[in-house]
Formats: sequence, structure tokens, C-alpha cells
Amino acid sequence: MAGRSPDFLLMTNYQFSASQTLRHITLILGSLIVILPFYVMVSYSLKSPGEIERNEGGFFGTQAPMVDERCVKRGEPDQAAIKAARPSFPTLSNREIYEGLMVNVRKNCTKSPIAFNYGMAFTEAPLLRYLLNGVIVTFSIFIIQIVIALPCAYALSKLQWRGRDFIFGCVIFCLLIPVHAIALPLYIMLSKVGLTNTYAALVIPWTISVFGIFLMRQFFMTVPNDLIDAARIDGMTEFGIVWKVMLPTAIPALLAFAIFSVVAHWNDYFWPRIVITGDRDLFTPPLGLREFKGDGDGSFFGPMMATATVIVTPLIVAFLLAQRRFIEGITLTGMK
Amino acid sequence: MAGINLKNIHKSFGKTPVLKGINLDINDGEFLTLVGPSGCGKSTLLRIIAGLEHQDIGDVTIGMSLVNQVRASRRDLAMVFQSYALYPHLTVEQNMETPLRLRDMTTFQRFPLIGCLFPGYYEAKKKINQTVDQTSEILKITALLDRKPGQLSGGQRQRAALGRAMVRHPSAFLMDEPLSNLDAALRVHMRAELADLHRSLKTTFIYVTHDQAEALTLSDRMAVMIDGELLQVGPPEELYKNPLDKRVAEFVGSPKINMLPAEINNEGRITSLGATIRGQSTTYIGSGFVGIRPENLKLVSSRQSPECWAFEVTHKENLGADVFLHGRLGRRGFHGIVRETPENAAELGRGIRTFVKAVPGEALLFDANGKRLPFKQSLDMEHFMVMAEA
Amino acid sequence: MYSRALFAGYWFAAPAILLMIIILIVPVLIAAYLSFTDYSLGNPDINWIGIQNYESLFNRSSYKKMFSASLIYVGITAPLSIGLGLGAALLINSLKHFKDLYKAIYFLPVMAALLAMAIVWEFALHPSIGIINKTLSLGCDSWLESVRWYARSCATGFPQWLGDKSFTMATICFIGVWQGFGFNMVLYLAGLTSVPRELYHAAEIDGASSAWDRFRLVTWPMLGPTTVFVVTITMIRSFQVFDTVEALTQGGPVRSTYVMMYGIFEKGIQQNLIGIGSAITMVFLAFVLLLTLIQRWLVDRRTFYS
Repeated sequence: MAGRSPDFLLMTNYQFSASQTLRHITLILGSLIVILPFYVMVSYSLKSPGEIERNEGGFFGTQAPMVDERCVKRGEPDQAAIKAARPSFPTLSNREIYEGLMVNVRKNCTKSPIAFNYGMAFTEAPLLRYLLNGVIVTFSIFIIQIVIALPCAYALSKLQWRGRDFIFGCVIFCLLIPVHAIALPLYIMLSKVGLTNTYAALVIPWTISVFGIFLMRQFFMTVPNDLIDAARIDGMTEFGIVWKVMLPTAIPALLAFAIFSVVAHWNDYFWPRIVITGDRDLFTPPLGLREFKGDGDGSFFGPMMATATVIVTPLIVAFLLAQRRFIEGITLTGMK
Repeated sequence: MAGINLKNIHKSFGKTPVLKGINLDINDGEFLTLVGPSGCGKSTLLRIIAGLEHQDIGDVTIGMSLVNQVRASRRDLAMVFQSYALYPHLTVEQNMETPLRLRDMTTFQRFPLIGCLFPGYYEAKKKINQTVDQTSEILKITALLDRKPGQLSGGQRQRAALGRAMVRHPSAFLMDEPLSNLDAALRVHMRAELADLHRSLKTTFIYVTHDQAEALTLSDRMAVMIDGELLQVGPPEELYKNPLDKRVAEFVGSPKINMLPAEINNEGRITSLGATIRGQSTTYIGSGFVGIRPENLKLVSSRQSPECWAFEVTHKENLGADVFLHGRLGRRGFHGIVRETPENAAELGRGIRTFVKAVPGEALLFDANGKRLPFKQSLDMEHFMVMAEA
Repeated sequence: MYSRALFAGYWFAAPAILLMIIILIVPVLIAAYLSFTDYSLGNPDINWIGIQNYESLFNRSSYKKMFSASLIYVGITAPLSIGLGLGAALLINSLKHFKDLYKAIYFLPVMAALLAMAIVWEFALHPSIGIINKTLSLGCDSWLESVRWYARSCATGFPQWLGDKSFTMATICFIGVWQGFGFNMVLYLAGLTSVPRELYHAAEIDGASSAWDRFRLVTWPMLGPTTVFVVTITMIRSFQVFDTVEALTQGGPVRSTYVMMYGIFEKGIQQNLIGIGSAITMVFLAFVLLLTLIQRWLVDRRTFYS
């Protein structure tokens, strides 16, 4: 029988009992702390540098147009430009021409804070490229994981062959080896083969998901053998059975695993940091953000927060839309 | 020690009414069974007595005090659950200690690890150990004290659960179908043990079951509940011989009573399926039912009187000491059951046609709504005396 | 059929076996070997130096700081993550309304890239323009100044959460707990739904009136298996902390947050001292192995399902 907390036993029947209120207050206070950085991140991605520094403007900022100083610097007229403009204004001094041109430049460089922040995020660094890399890497990893794990799980659960139990023991043993822990030797191996700074390097170490094999095997063991025998009698190859019979029954587990894998690898910073040493084009989203930050205190908080928002949003949105699935998935993978 | 009183208990779950105005007085020290088919609300009623559920309307009184606002842990009742609900991580001994620790030790003394440093701990512990030892001897589970529930058989768990309930010497024991998870032989054995226990403890037992045979054998009084209503309360013989409602008659007794449709004309004459029932209805005219228990139908070789029906045997159940004949009664082929001795039924088998007769004076008359009707059993005084001696 | 199954068995498992060997087992062996050398990438040959690396690890103060930083981090973050996760689960489980909303909110940090959120936290914790200190300083010149520490901070400035050695580790731990407790909460919520309801009823009848009694008698023991799992996972994850350290403190100030994963990164990758890096790797693996073995032993010991 499922268990809810039994406080209904001592609960009087009115709606707003004191203990429920207290619980809500505690949880709300906790929520505030939990949400704080999200609030800061989104809010500051909408504000101008001045507003950020002075911590004003509410959540959305006033969106007053601001002047992009770097843009101005870039557009600053040099001697040649002044010379070129002289014929139009013969009566004015160099200084005045300069001032005049600057007014124009200033006007062109005026934009709303949102445009500034997000514009910079996408132009200062190839954010779109980073996002694309994230998608490529996450997707590739998941697909390859499935292709490797499913047949193996099938073989371990439904087929009889010599050494099966030994191999399963190896699988259990390998659960002890977090890939992050062996990053160093993996890096050495990859650099010896010349594969650092490639998509391959980002993907290869994760292709073997022992956890995935384990999870799928547990699921496959619950599939009735009759189903498989029927397929065999119908002439299906073993390979066909894996994809046409076993896969459909394990969709919930697959979904849970997909969530687990995508979240882990989209957010992964450690391994890409090690293995992508020079080629900015291969940066995954977290790497991109880190590069943006640099090591200084960085005066571009706005664009930095914009980048962070862009990186974090896809998974958050997906989570909010499919909450139950996510939480079920984590629970499922936890209850192995 | 006290009686328990339920007044006008109503309870609904959402829109569904589950208890529809229950009034019940439970006497101190009696063994009262709440019987009824599944879903009739008896478990809910038990939980309301225990304090685990709250009634929507009505009062629960234990002893002289109204306990509506008193929570379950303070009502001085003990409960044995259908699934026993033993703490799986504690040994049998620790399970039995738990109620005593909660009652007799302070929160500080009960603290893990450091509780034993508090003053008074060892005296309290000694008393608890004594009580647990006594109780486990009565139930003969002393050898099991060190085991965990997972290592016990069904019957042993049952006794451990009983032990946990008994240690506090509560004012009443509440039992929610405690024997239903046991196999048939064990169930019969445990029934006897429970009866013995009740006799020796002399505490009130309130026992919920759907098995009317269990209720018949164990109770001082039975309370039959159907569809959230309390239909009748009384000693088992009373309910068997004298049910006040058709539903009670049909529920109590195995195999089920033969409930034949009947007509009563304005002279009070009762006919059913072509035969006449001896007796006269004095209060009611119209259609109704007449209930005749299988043991009150006798095989006769021919249609001796208007009180007989034709009977075609469809099925014969030989139980060794008794034979139950299933068959079609009367013209319309109404399904009826007759109990006979093996000798009398020896010649009979499927398809054989014979006749049955109702034993006079044993029929139960009900009106169209199922309420019991009084009727003069017989106009024949001589026959009455014969019946009395039988 | 039989030989077909046999055939398929080997072929299906082969890629996985191959990858397991190449990606998981071989690197461990390589790390083990290299930990006894002074190898650097680019060196033509590999020199065996015996246990020198391990000696430095256990004797040099900078490495001792590494172990203590790791242990302190795990020692603070893990219990807090677990405790808060359990607390949140108990609270949410007892609510009548808005359960899913709170679940979603508390789970958000788990979904968001830690690196990104660490940088945001860094900004929020900025000594002068960060929102935390700015909000704290709003309370200056008010009754809050009766607290000594508060008054002092109003005068001299609120703490440098990441720059001041006495606060850095606590701040890093805070971010770690912030990120991780939601995950434990979800696991505990799942565990709570499998506690048999009748045990609570039995406890009530036995006289357990307070929430503490119910927790001790029913909730906590029945959450045993869940707790073992949560503890192991949390501890292994906290040993693996890297993102916050690399982005916010680089192991400092003064190596106060110099955790093992960062040590592997700095020594092995940045400074190209593969030998020492491998030695740290082996010690790290030993910790993980130890934790997992303890978990297995505990699970075997405590299985008591009825």
C-alpha cells in the first residue's frame, strides 16, 4: 500500500491549519534561495551595464536605450575618416567634425539592453555554433550508447552463451569506474592517436555506458520469453529481435536513460575542458561560457548572463514541459 | 474496562456514503464480530472506533468518555491488522516492546544510543522485559523473540502481532480480518486459540471478518453489516434462527438459505412455487419471500401434501457426513439446496426427480422489502409439541 | 536455434566488451603504470621512479591540502545534500497542495549546467555589486546592527565570499549543496511512496503521537535502502566536484579548495605532470571503490524485507 505522510490522522478539518502553513512558509523560503541565481541570471541578461552595477531596475530593467561602448570605439572616426568628411563641412574644425561624426556613431551604437546583451552573446563568441556542438555531441553520444548497449543487454539477459555471467560480472565491476576519474589516461591515449580537439574525442569515452547496459538488462529480463520465441519462429533474426521486439517494450526505461544521458552530457564541463585544447569551433556550451568569462572579473556581466541563460534554457524548458517524465526517469534509474 | 458505544455514525468517501447511520453498543468483555460482505464498511467502522478515521457525523464513546476528539494513540485500544503491520526492521521482542516503550518511557529515555543514560531507564526497561516475557509465554512465541518478521511464517507473524497488541493490556482489542491471510487449516486452529485467549483475558474483542462461519464460531454477539447499514446484532444462534432481514438470512449460514418467492393472500395463506407453507401470515398481504434452510427441506418419495415441491437433482455434493443436493424446485425450476444424510441420498443422482417437503415451523417469512414478518407457525397444536421434542 | 543464440550472444556483447576494455579498463591500467613514472606528454621515453609520486602525495603539504580539501568538501556537502534532500522530501510529501510546483522548483538546479550556475553564483556573491551583499547592506542602519558581526560588516564591508580564505570553502560547499539536494529529494520522495501506510497506523495505535516518533519508528527505517543508495551516489558525486572550483577559485585561495579532480586537472593536464596526475587518479579510484564496497556491505547487512 502506498504511503503518504499520515498527518491526516491528527489533522483537524479546516483548510489552513497551522502546520500546513508552516510547511509552506519553510518551503517558500527554500524556493527563494533555490531560485535566486536563476532570477539573477535572467534579470541581468536583460539589463544594461549601468543598471547591473547599481543593482536597479526591478526584474526586467527599464530597457532604456544604452550606448554600446565597444561599438562606439570600433566606429570611432580616424584621421582618414575625418579627412574624407571635410569636403562636406568646410567651415568646421577637425575637432568639430570629429564631434559631429561621433554623434552619428553614438546614435548607431544605441540599442536596448536586451539587444546588447544577447547580441553580444551571439556575436562575441559563436554561441550558435556552441549550441550546435552541444546538440551534435549529446545526440551522437546517446545514439551510440543505445546501439552498443541494447544488443549487449539483450545478450546478457535473454541469450545463453558461455562466459555470459563473467561478462556481466565485468559490467558490474566497471560500474565502479567513473569516466571522469580516468580522464587523464584517456586524454593521453587520445592525444597519442592525435584525436584531441575532435568531435570523436568528445564522444568516444561516453559511448560505453555500463549503467545503460545494466538498466536495459533489468528491463529486458521482465520481457516474457514467449514473445521472443514467437518472433524467432516467425523467422526474425536475433538482431531484428533486439530492435523490433525488445526496444518497444523498454521505451520507458529508454526515455529515462535518454534524459539522464542528455542532461549529463549537455552540462558536462570537465571532459570537454580537458580534451578540447585549442579549437574554439568545437566548444560545447559550458566551455563557450567559460571562455566568455575569461579569468578576469569581466565587465560584460550582461552578455555573460545572456550566454548562461541561452545555455541553461533548453533543458529547463524541456524539464518544465515534461516534468513528470523527468522525475520518473530519475527515480527509475535510482531504483535499480 | 468499559463498553464502547457508537451513536449515529455516518461516513462518506467523497460522494459515496460508506456508513449510513450506525448505532451499536458493545458490552465490556464480549467478543463482538462485525461481519458482512466485502465493501460493506466494516473495516471503516473499525478504524473509526480506533481513531484512525474520523466519522463525518456521530459519536464514539469508550467507557464513559466521548472520544471523538481523542486521537488513536490515546484511546487505549490495540489493533491487529490484516497484514499484521509488524515493524520489519525490529525483532519480535522489539516489536512487542514498542507500545510499552512509547507509553512508559519518556522521549529522552527512548533516544537512540544515549537514551539508556537517562535516569529511570533501567527500571522501566526491566518492567517492559517482564511484560514482554509474560505475554510471549502465553502466546508460546518465546523461541521467536529474536527473529525478525521476515523470518517468520504466517501463523507466527499473527501471534507476534497479537503479542504486540496484548502487552499493553488495552481496554479492547480491534482485529481487522486477522486470519484471512492464513491457510484453511491454520485458520481453524487459530480460531480456537483466539477463543481461548478471549476467555482467559476477558477483554472486549471487536473482530471484523467477511467469513460468516468464523463469526458464527467465535462471537458472543454478531453484528451483520451490509452496504453500510447495521442490519442485526445478536448472538449467533439468534441471527441464524431468527434473522430480521432477508439479507441477514442470506448472508449467515452455509450453504446459502433457499429464498423462494412467495405470495400471501388476504386470508394469510402463504404459497410459493406451487406449494403451500404451513402457517398463517397475520400482518401482511402481497408478494414476499420465504426462506428455508437446506437442512429444513426433507426428501419425500411422493407428493404427499400441498406442502411439497417437485425436485429435480442437478448436482450432488458429498461432504462425507452430509450430502447437499442442488436441484430445481417446483414448476419454474428455482434453484434450491437440500441437505440430507448420505443414506437418504444414496439413490439420488443427477437428473433424478423426486420431491421435497419443508419442515413445518422452520420457514422464515419476509415481505417484499426483505423485512421479517411474524406468522403463526402452525394451527396444529399437536404438531407443535412434536417439533418441540425434535 | 541454440547455436544461433550463442553466435548472437558473442557478437552482440562484443562491441560493448571491446569498448569496456579500451575505455574503462585499459586506462586504469595505464594510470596505474604511469603513477610509478615521471612521464610527461611529449617525452620520448618513460622513466620508472617507483613510489616517489605516492610519497609526495602523502608527504608534501600541497597534496595534503588536496586530501583535506576533498574530505572537507565531501564531509560538508554530502551530509547537507542528503539532509536537505530528505527534509524537503518529507515536507513536500506531507503537503496537500502545490506538491508538484515545489518539486519542480527544487529540481531546477539539478537540470541547469553547474558551470553556468556557478558563474551566476559568483556574480551574485560579488563583494560589491553582487546582489547578496547589496541586499545585506540594505539592512545597515537598522535593528540588524545589534548583531556584532553585522555591524562590523556594515562598517568594513560584507565578506568576500570567494576571495576570503575563511569563506571560500563554505561558499563552494553551498553551491554544491544547492545544486545537488534536489536530486536526493526526488529519490527520497520515491522512497517515501513505498513505505507501507499500515505501518503508520500500527505506530499510531502503539502510541506514537509525535512526528519524531513516527519518523524514528517507521519512516527512517523503511527508507534504509534508499538512504544507502543516496549516500553512495552523493558521496561519489561530491568527490568528483570540478566545475565550481575551476571556474571560481582555481583551487585557491592558498589551496583551500584544491580538490582532487582539480588536482588531476592542474597537475596532469595543465602542468603536464602525468606521473603525479596518475597517482592522484589511482587514489581517487581507491576512494570510489571503498565507498561502493561499503555500500554493498551495508545493503547486504540491512536487508530485512518481510
